[in-house]
Amino acid sequence: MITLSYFLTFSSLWVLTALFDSALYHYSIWEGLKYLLFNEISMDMVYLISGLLIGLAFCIVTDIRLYRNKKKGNQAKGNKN
Amino acid sequence: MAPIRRLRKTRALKKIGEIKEGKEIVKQEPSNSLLSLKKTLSGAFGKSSDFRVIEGFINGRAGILFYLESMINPKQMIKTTSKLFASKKDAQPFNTLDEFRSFSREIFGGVRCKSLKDDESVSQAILNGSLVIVIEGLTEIVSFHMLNTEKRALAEPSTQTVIRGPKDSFIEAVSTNISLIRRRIKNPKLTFEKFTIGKDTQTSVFIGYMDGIVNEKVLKELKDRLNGIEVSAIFDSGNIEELITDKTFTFFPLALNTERPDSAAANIMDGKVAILVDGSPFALMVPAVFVNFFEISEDFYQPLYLGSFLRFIRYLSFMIALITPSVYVGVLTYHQELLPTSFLLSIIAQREGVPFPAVVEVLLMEITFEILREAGIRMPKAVGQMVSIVGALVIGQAAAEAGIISNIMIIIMAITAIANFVAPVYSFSSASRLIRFLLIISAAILGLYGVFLMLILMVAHLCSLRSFGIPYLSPLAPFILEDQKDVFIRFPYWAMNNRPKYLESEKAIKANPVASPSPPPMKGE
Amino acid sequence: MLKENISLTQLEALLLNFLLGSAIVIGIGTDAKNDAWIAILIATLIGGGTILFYWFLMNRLPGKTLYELLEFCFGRKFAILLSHGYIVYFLYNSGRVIRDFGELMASALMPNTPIEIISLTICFVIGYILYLGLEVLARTSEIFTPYLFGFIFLLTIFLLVSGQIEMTRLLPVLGEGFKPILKSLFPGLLTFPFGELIVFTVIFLNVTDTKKGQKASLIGVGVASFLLIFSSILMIVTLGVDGILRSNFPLLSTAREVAIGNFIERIDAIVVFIMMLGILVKGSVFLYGALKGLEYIYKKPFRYFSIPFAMLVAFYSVLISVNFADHLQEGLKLVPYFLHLPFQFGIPAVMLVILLWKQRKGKKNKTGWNYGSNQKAKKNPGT
Repeated sequence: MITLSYFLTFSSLWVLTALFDSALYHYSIWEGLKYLLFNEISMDMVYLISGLLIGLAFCIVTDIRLYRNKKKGNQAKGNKN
Repeated sequence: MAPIRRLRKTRALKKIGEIKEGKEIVKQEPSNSLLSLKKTLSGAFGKSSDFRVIEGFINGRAGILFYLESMINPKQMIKTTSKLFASKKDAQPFNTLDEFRSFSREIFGGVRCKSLKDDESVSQAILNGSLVIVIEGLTEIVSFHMLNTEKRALAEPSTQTVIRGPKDSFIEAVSTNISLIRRRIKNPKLTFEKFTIGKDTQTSVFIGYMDGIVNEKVLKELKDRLNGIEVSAIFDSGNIEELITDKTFTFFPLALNTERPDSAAANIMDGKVAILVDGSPFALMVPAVFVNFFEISEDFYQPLYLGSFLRFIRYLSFMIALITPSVYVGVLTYHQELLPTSFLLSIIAQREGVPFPAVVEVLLMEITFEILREAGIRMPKAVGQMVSIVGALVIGQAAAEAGIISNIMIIIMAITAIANFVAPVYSFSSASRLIRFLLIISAAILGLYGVFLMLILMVAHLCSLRSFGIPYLSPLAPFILEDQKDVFIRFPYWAMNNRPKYLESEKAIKANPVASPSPPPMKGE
Repeated sequence: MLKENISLTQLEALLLNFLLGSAIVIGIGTDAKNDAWIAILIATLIGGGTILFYWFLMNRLPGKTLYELLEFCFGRKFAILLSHGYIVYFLYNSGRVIRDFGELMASALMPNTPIEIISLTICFVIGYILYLGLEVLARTSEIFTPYLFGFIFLLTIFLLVSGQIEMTRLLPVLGEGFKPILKSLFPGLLTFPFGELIVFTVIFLNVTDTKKGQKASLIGVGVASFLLIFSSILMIVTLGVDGILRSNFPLLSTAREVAIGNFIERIDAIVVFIMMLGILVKGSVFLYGALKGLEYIYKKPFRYFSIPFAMLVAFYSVLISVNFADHLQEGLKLVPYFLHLPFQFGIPAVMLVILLWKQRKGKKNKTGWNYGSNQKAKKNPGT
């Protein structure tokens, strides 16, 4: 769930930023989307990407933990019943 | 006769059935159960050479005495046993329990006496320094408390010294510590409750508080946590501290420790709970908040302005100890422009021959100093001078002359070290001592920005801490105006009529508001 | 889950740091030239009105966040869509704030450190603070706020002593009439920084005393505006209008004018510290707003989202624009019209209309929803 929200928000922000860029520099939104990730706006993209990956790892780990807790909770409930 | 072991329970129960309190005693010679008790105890303590069993006749009845020689006061022992066995053969053997009681009262006088029911409590009583007497035909086993109260004399506190104020300190014997507090608070509301903690060591732990003042929620929480402890051994209040505090993984102590009875008493009067552990000369006070570690009882014994000024000095030195080395690293590595030119030039000139970058220099010296400090505490007293001479020479002069470090570094390190010693509670200085290294490293990576960032992280961490539910940074955050009387400055003693509000004690008002003492009017007024 | 409580003082501290935040970094109202302080003064009145408007809106259904209000007005499905919009908006704003700070650091204190590192580190700190919760954020800002006042005071004293201040630079007052002031007011000052207070609609319910909360937030806005006006005047009298227009970070340039004897020369670090605090609070409040939205949509505690989304903010704070000029350009031309106005005033206004209409209907029917604070809300001034 959290991973999903992460991707969803990531892409929404991507589109928003690309929209602004395309409006400012007068090119189409597709170009804007492309430029944003491949045009080296950031000099040290490595750090950012690693930050993103850390965030993603956090998401996945939390999701797995939540899923397990839920499963356990369900089992406990089932036993009680 | 009392039940001895589970195996023999049925037989023992029968015996109890036979002989009831106040009724006639029938048997004369040692019975099976008496012998079996002896066997059991000898089995349990048999290998210990200080376990003693004395058999004899007490008023014509067979009896056995059990005790641990090392735990019992020998003088008292000799006095009482001689009386016990000296009772003449022809004396009237006591026939009821009451008779035995009056007999023993005659011999033992005011010694604390306890009747024991089962095997477990018998061995427990022996371990606690009691003389256990078993007499043939009696339903009860009786123990007399004769603990050898050999203890250290009261001495001056060794880590929390004062210039003006009481000079006694807690010692290892918990009974003495309780009496030291009780002597200061002569109030029946002062309550001490006993807990026995440690599965194998059976250490007695006391909590002391003012009934009706203490925050009941905190008290209940504390009791729950103490009851929840399941370890095998407790040796010092430090063990307890780690087992009951809210968070272990933090640099900051969440319980105040003190070896001064006056400060313990003052804290109890404020509504805190004292935890006294047998065998530890340090009492724990909970809940403790950040600002408590900058207050000492002497603040209130000294003149008003000096007391407040010393507080300020303590906060200042905490900051100095925390950030000086890292600011040095940050400024020299990234922000030389922040220094005035002439000053910068002189530093650069001094560092000309130094082969290391600033961070290596600082880490080198800080670690060296930590080693020296540890050596200073652990070394045998006889070689003490050598360490200090070598330390002073190595750190002070030789290193600078050899060009390993710069002179300014020595100043930085010295000021840091001395500022670190200002902390009134030793365990708190460990916080600034450890966080300092984190700050140095972050300053080496990110300069002053890193230092700021770490400080903000530290404050955020502090804000998230709680001591028994009380926010650790109160009364600063959440800000409580009424409590500012006793934080950065101290108000006159007559103005302090409220207990700290953050403790949420049951009785918030200490005394009615008092006006400042007013002398008779001056001439001409 | 226990509700987190923030006291009135903490609310004030949050508001103060939030409003100072990036406003003090890049300077506001510069369009009005040397009448910037008048523009801010007028904007303060509007800002006070704005926060009362948000309070009024939130008091319709007390104890609910902005997102739950959206659900009440538009239904769950449409509310999720709008909430997603708000989340993106808050994250984007947070990113902008962090970018401001990154540029500041890159040009002032750490020229050789890549801006990515600065973004990542400060975002990590923000994420950690929010992981610890709103209370911790509020307390942290409460602890540091006195230093903020102290440093501004210190800066003023230093400037006075070093003799850089010329009061005549304030003249002529209203030399070009009201036109430049109006130009800087709309949409500039209205939306930034005052309109951004919309994010506090997710915090209001955490205030311990809702009745006094309005007064406290007015005080917070007032004090913040006072500091903004004060710093604006300080900049004008120290640098002059041309100096301000030429510099990217006017307050920093102001601080660089300090020179006392040959000893106190560069106090950049102090100023950067003031700014860092504001940025930290502003960035985290925006992120908190987004996290609460995520909590609403996905029904998971917001703590789980804090670290990943802080990383997301760090990522976009750098990608948001190519360079600083581009960043400012976007902030002036696009963001106010396409993001600020609709999200700060458009949607809330629609929401208010729907709310009032629904509540009226509800009153007539006397069934369905229970509107606890109708009577209370009527007494509120300033709506």
